[in-house]
Amino acid sequence: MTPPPEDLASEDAKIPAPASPDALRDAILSVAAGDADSFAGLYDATSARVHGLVLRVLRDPAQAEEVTQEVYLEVFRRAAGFDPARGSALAWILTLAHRRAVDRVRSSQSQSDRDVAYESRANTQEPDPTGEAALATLEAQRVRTALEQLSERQAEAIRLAYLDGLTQTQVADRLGIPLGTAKTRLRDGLLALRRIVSAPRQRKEE
Amino acid sequence: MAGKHPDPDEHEEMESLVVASVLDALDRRQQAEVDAHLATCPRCRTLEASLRETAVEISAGLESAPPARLRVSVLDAVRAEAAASSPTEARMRPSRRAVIGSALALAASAVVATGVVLSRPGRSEEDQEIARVLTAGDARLYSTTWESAQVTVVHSASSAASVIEVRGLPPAPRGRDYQIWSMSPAGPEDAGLLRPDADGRARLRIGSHAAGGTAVSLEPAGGSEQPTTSPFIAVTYS
Repeated sequence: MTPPPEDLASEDAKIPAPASPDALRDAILSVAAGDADSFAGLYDATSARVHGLVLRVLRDPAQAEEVTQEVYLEVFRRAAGFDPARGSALAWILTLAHRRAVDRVRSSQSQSDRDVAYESRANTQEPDPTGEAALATLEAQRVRTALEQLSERQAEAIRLAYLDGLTQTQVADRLGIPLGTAKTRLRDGLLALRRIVSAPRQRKEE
Repeated sequence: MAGKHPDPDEHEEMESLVVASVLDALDRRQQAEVDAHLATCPRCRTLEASLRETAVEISAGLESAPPARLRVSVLDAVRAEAAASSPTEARMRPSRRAVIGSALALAASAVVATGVVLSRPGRSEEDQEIARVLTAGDARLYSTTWESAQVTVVHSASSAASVIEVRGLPPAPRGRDYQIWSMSPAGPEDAGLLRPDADGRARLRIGSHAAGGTAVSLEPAGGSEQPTTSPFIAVTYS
């Protein structure tokens, strides 16, 4: 029997196990050195993270696909600018991805498309097509716990800013709070999240 | 914004801006101000790097595999780019560089022999244009500095062009590019991106019909149609 063609297999494409930070770093450095073949491995190891983030921000599968493609072309073109001393490969890639997704959200046409798409989904109560809940990993549970350890107000502000793509001014408007209060919640929230996610590692080092 | 903020209130304000920047929660103007500050403040850069790692965790658990057709499309596009002439020196393999080098030599000898350019592949044309500006009879040199960077601009009105050269310019912050503007009477005109190499050097020719000067600003990656931040390098031709 012949194996199914790739397109059919994609219907429930598997999420590969997360690659180690070192493997991702080496893959980007290889791409930067001119080895375009390393790019496939880099894509396979990170595309579920990139696409998942972009889809969450844009809430529109067609646009998420477009933006994900743009992100990977940018990763390829800018690979030579990646400096491992300045941070992890995943942080570098997701920074590019988040910025592109947010830029797309803030173009007005895209905003209205997104609202329409979101409205229709919210109204019909379709099952979550991305299966987010089913794909939750241990890592995510750690972070969910971490977000839960933030005050609900801090977590809400961070979700509105990072996952809904709002500016801090829009966060303040949405929540009906002064801008200064929104800024404080975002700052205290992200600083607290940093303490929470880095806590186990620090204990190990001690 | 200055590079130092010893005042605790000011530090807290800066911390808020760095957080908002990491979350992409600033408008373009605020973002540009933060980027300019980060370029001069190692302490805030360290904070930024650390918070970017934290931000990675916010979307952990949202994984969603893209359709297989996207993989095909992305890899095709990347292969096509890799096969086409390489956009950066850094990505160039030695064999390609040698080919371009000999093409340059060939073009140069063609000029010497006949006074006419017989063959002008892209890069040699750029180099020849630069040489023409630098050796023009009316070439004037302007220099300025920004932080650790030395900036030299040579303008030749008769060539309707300038050459900008920078040394010691740090890489643009993530997701940003330095963009050059030709300051014409009608307003700033896009004159390309300034991408310093690993040593912080870059040299670029600027077409500048009737331009009164050159400026460089920090813009979102890929550049803008019009400057969105105040130029941090500005040279006015006299």
